[in-house]
Amino acid sequence: MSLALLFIVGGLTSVGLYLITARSLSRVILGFTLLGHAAVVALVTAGGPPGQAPIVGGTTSQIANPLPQALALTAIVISFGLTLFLLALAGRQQQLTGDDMVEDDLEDRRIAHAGDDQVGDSKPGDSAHGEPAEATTSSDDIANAADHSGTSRQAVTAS
Amino acid sequence: MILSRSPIFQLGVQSASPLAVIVGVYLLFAGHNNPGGGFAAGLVLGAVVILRTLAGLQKPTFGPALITGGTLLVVAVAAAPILWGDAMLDQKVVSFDLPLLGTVKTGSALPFDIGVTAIVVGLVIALLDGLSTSDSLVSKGNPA
Amino acid sequence: MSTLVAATILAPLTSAALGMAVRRRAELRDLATLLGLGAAAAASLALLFQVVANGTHVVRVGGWHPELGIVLVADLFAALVLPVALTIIFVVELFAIGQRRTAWGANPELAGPLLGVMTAGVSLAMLTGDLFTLFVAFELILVSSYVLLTHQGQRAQIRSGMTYVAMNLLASTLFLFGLAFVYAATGTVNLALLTERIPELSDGVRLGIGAWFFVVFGTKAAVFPLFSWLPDSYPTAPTTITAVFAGLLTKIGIYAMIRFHTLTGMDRLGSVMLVIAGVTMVVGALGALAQSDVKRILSFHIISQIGYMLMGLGLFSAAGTAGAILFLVHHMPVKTVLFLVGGLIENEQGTGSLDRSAGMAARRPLIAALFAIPALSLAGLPPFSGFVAKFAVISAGIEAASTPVVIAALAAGALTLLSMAKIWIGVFWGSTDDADIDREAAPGNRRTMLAATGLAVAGTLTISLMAGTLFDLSRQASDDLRTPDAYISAVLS
Repeated sequence: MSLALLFIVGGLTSVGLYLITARSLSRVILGFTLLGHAAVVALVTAGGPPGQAPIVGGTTSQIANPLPQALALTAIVISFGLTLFLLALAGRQQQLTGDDMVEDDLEDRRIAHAGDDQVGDSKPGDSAHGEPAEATTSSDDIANAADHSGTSRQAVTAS
Repeated sequence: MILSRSPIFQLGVQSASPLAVIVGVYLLFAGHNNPGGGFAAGLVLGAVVILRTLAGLQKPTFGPALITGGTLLVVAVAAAPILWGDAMLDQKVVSFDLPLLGTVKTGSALPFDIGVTAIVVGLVIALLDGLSTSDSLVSKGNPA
Repeated sequence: MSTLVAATILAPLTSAALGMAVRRRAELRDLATLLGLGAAAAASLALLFQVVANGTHVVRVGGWHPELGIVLVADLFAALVLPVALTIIFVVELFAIGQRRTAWGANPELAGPLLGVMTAGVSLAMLTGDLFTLFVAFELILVSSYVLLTHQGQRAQIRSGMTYVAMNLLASTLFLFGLAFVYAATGTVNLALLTERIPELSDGVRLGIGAWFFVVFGTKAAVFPLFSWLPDSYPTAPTTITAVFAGLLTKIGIYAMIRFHTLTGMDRLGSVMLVIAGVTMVVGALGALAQSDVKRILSFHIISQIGYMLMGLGLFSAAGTAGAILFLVHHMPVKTVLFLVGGLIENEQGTGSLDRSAGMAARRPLIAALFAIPALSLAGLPPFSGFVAKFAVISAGIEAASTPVVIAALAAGALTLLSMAKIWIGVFWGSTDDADIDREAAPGNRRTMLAATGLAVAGTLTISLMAGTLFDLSRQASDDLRTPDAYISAVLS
C-alpha cells in the first residue's frame, strides 16, 4: 500500500471536512467534491499494489486488481451527478436569498428566542432573514404561506 | 445572464465543437476494450452542449427525450437476455468484417453504452434547463 | 423467478422513462406510472410466495461469479419486506394523483417518474447481495429523494433540503470509505463472502468495520445523535413525498443494518446499539410531544419508532431480530397512512397546525376513523399490528434481561399515545364553526385520496390480521440471517 496515496487520502479528507463546515454553500460543495475524491482514492488504494493494466494482457500476478477500479469509476459517476445537483440547489438558494450562505435553523432561532418577549419572533425587521415576515409577501403561493404562517404561529405558542 | 459574449469564445467553441463531438463518439465506441465508455463520452458531449449554450450558439431542449430514450435502451438491454433464458444484463459479443474498417468486434454492451451516454447528456441539458428557467420562478417566490 | 426479481427493478424504471416521455399528458403519464409501480408490487408479492415455497433465489447479473459480479439475492427477509415497501409507493402514487391540483401536491410531471426511479432503488437495495450495489441503490433512492424534496424550490424546502442533502451526502461518503476499508481487510464486498471472512478478522478490525457501518446506516436511519436532519426536512415536502419518505427511507437504513450486522455477527456492538436505541425512542417521543403541527409530530415519531427496530437488532437474539423485522413490516404502512391522513387534514382545513384546526370528527368522520386506526396501531394498542410488533420486541428484551431498554420502550409507548391524543384533541375535537377554516381549500380529487388512504388502512388491518403468519415468517427470516449457512451456499454454489 503506497504511503503517498495514503497521504493524499488524508489530505483530501481533512481539507474536505474543513470545507463542509463552512457556511458558504460553494465551499460546502467543494468540500464534498474533495471528500468524494478522497473516498475514491481510498477505494483504489484498497485494491492492493499497483500493477499492469488489467484484463488486456499480463498474467494475474502482474496486473492490478480491476474490481476496486470498477467500483471507483461508479463512485465517480455518482459524485458527478450529486455535484451537479448541489450546484443547482446552491443556485436556487442564491436566487432566493441573494447569497449562498446556509440560513439559520428556524427551530434553533425559536428556542433561542423562547425567553424573549412574544412579539420578538414575528416582528418584520427582527432578524436578517425574517422568515415569518415572508409569509405575507408570497401570498400567491398557498403552500408556502400556509407553511410559514403555521411556523410563525408555532413560534408564538412556543415562546 | 451574460450580457455580451466574447466573439473569440464564440468562434473558438464553434470551431472546436465538431472535433469534441468526434472525440466523444470515439470514446463511446472505444470504451469496449480501451479507456473510454458511455459515461466518458457523455461527459465530453455534455461539455460541448454546456459550452455551446454559454456561447449563446444554441439552447437545447431535448434533455428529457434523451433521458427517456437512454433509460429505455438500458432497460431493454438489461431485460433482453431474460427472454432467451440467460441472466439479466448478460452480454452477447459479435464480430464481423466490414469494408474499410476490417474486423469489428462489438456486443450488447454498445447499446448499453449509448443509453448511458444519452442519459448523461440528457441530465446535463436538464440541469442547464433548470438553471436558466428558474429565473422565472423568482418572481413567484419572494424577492431577496 | 429470475423474471420476478428483474421485474421489481426494471418495471418501475421503464415506467419512469415512459412517464417522462409523456409527462405533459396527465392521463398517460399516471397510467404508465401506476402500471409500472403496480407491476413491481405484484411481482414482489409473487416473489414472496415463491421464496416461502422454494427458499432463497439467487440471480447472477450478467452471469458473473459472485466474487466479481453483482448478485441479487431474494431471501426470506428481502422477500418479506419488499412487497410492503412497493405497495406503499403504489398507494402513495394513487393518493398523489388525487391530490394533483392542490398546493400541497407535488409536481406530478416530476413526482411520477422520480417515484419510479426510487422504487427501482428500493428493490435493488433490498435484493442486492453485495455492499457496493447497496451503495448504488442508496444513491438511486437518495438522489430521487433530494429532487422530490426540493423541486418546488420554496425557501423553507431549500433551507431544510440543504441539511438533508448534506447529512446524507456525508453518510454516503463515509459509506464509500467503509467500502474501501472492507475491501482492504477482506478483498471482497460480496455479503456472502463477507459473512465468511469478517468473523476471521481480528477483533479490532471487525468491530471497527461494524461501528463504521453502524454510523453510516444510522445516519440514513436517523438514530439518536444523527437524526437532526429528519424533523427539519420531512414536514416541508409535499404530503405525498413525506409519506413515502416516512414509510421508506429511514427504514432502508434499518433494513441494511439488520442485514449487515446480523449476517456478519456483530454481537459485541449490541450493548452500544441498545443504549442508542433507548435514547432514540425517548428523545423522539419527547420531541413529538413538544410539537404542535401534525406533520412535525409524526416526523418525530419516525425517530422514536426507529429506536424500537434498533432495540430488536441490538438484542442480537433470534427473538429480537424477528421482532425488529416484524416491527419493520408493521411500521412502514402505518407511518405512511398517518402522513396521508395528515395530508387529508391539511387538504380539508388549509393547515396542519393543531392550534388552528378543530372539529374534524364531526365534519369528516371518515377521516377521523382513518386516522384513529393507524394512530392506535402506532401507539401499540391491541388488537392492531403495532401491539404485536411492540410485544415481540419488548418480550425479546425481557427474555434477554435488558431492563433499562425495556423501560425506555414502555415509556416511549406511553408518550406516543399521549401525542396521538394531542393530535386527536387538536384536530378532531372541538367546535366546528371556526371562522379561520377555509372551506374552499379542498380542490383535489377527494374521492381518489380517500380511496388511497382507505386502501392503505385496509392494508395495515390485513397486517394486523395476519400477524401470526407474519411473526412466524419474521422468526424464520431472522433464523436465516443469524445462521447464514444456507444464505452463503445459495449465493456461492
